[in-house]
Amino acid sequence: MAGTGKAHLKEKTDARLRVEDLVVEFQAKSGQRVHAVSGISFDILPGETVGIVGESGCGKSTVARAVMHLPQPTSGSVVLDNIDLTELSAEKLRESRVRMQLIFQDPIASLNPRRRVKDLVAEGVSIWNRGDDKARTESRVRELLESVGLDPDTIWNRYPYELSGGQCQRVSIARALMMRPELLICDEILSSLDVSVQSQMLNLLKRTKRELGLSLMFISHDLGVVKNISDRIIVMYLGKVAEVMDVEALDRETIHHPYTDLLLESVPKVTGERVFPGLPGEVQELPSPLNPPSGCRFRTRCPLATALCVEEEPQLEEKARGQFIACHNVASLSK
Amino acid sequence: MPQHETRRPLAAPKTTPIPVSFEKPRKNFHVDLLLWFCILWLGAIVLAAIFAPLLPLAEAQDASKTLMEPTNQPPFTVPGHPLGTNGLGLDIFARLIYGARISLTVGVAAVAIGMAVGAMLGTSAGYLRGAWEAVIGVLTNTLLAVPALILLIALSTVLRPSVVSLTFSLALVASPGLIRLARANTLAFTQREFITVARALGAKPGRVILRELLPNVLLSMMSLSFVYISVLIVAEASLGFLGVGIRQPTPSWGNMIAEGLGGKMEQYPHLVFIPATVLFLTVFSFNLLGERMRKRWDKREVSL
Repeated sequence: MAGTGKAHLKEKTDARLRVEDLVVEFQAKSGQRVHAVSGISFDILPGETVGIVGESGCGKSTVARAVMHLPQPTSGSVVLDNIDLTELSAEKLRESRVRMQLIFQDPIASLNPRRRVKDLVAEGVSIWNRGDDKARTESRVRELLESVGLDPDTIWNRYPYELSGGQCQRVSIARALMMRPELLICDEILSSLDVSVQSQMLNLLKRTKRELGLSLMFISHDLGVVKNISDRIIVMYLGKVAEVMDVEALDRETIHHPYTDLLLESVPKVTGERVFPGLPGEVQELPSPLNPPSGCRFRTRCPLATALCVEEEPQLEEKARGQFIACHNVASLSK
Repeated sequence: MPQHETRRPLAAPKTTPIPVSFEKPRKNFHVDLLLWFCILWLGAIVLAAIFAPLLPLAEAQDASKTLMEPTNQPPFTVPGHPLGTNGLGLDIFARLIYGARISLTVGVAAVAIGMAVGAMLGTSAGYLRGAWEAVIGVLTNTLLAVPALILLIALSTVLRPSVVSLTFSLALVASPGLIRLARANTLAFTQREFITVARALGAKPGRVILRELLPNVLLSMMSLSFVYISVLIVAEASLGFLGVGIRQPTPSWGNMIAEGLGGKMEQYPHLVFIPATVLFLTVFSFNLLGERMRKRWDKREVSL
């Protein structure tokens, strides 16, 4: 699977966020390079939710941080509202970046343990000195805390360790919304919460997104959750894009990238039947991003792999309506 | 083993828990007593040191006023001198309390300065990395390479020994360890997501260091500060003993112990044992308190 290729990108002017050929590499201790993200492209439209799925270690979180330039990507471009962030000075970047906000998996580590809830939520405002009017800031903090389902009076003066994981995550969301972002990046935000809280958070995110017209980048390893909230889904494998699809594709009889099939199979079914009996069910380790396979990166685990997959990296092509698949061996449905 | 026998142990331990639950509270009770003793001791020393000029103490410094007083008296023998007198007839009890003023001031102030400097330098080095970290690293390693006592003696020959110069010398000795501690803590905290979030919200490096990192780094350094105070009190006493610290007639615990030099200790052991005991109890108390604080805060870190 490769996933270089930009056939799936929408019209340039439409996109709120447009990421092209994003590459993130880290220097490993031994002098080798970790190829965390190797040239992925995607875009997010205003009001759209794009889900990114893939197993741990495939570079999902790295993409999120690279989009925020925390740290800066190795190469590629990140264009937010037609401004290329990669070309900005540090100061301009600091200003532009505020329009994107980030929420992390670990709700407790995301909050400074020495600050109280009221200060945590108002932090952004105080950084930008938009808080000249104290009363207005305070009423907005209260409003936001209420909108994420917290009682401001109860938690106003609390420290993060006095809150539950779910409450901390809500505080994080309120803090991000305080900056009136256009794009919210959610990195595995449900993974550390229990199932009942997960569904509450999903509903909260959906509602907030609708009310504020937010674009959402929703990262998860759980295809079920991603399907629930997304408009489009990007399937990542080892730093590359395997497949980009409209969410409806999951509900219809269609073709998929072999890796997507593997992920679909891993979603527990009520019937207990294997939907794709041809594929190996056992768990396999991801190849090392220090030394990724040549050609298609998925070939070491792919049941369809051929000699061509070793030689040549497949490009993303529209192989079915609303589905871009990077695979040599999946036959196209559209023609 | 037959199946029914493996189930037995479920009912068996009924008798055993009783002694276990008995032992635990007793142990805690004992430990608390020790802690309270240390707190009371430090409280008494600190209060006496603060209010020394208001207390009805006998003469501690001016030997011209004690010409008529008995000299080298052991404790509890002369009325008005509960802990006896020294070679000049000065009251040992009063000298201990005035000595505490110097030992505590120097110890606490030096640690406060060392913590402030160490936290600032260590945190900024750990967060900013690069050339700044290299400079701080070289500075720290250089200071650590010089033996502390030799550095202190060298400094006291250059600077005129006074409370202020002693404080700064001791702060200098304490700072490399504190810088390293702050830097290590910073590296750990920088990995936490709240630092990334602060940057995403637009915080500049200065704000990240001051608002996000320092409060956390300082808290984790706090428990060590008590241990450092006790180390520096001992260092100050060592300097006093070697004659390069606070000079006579101003009393400090170190130079009081030094009064026993020259064969006087064999004749008048109380000259040495009384200040040494006070020094020991104070250092012990600071250490124990520091240890308890560390345990307590570690626990909270875990519950985070």
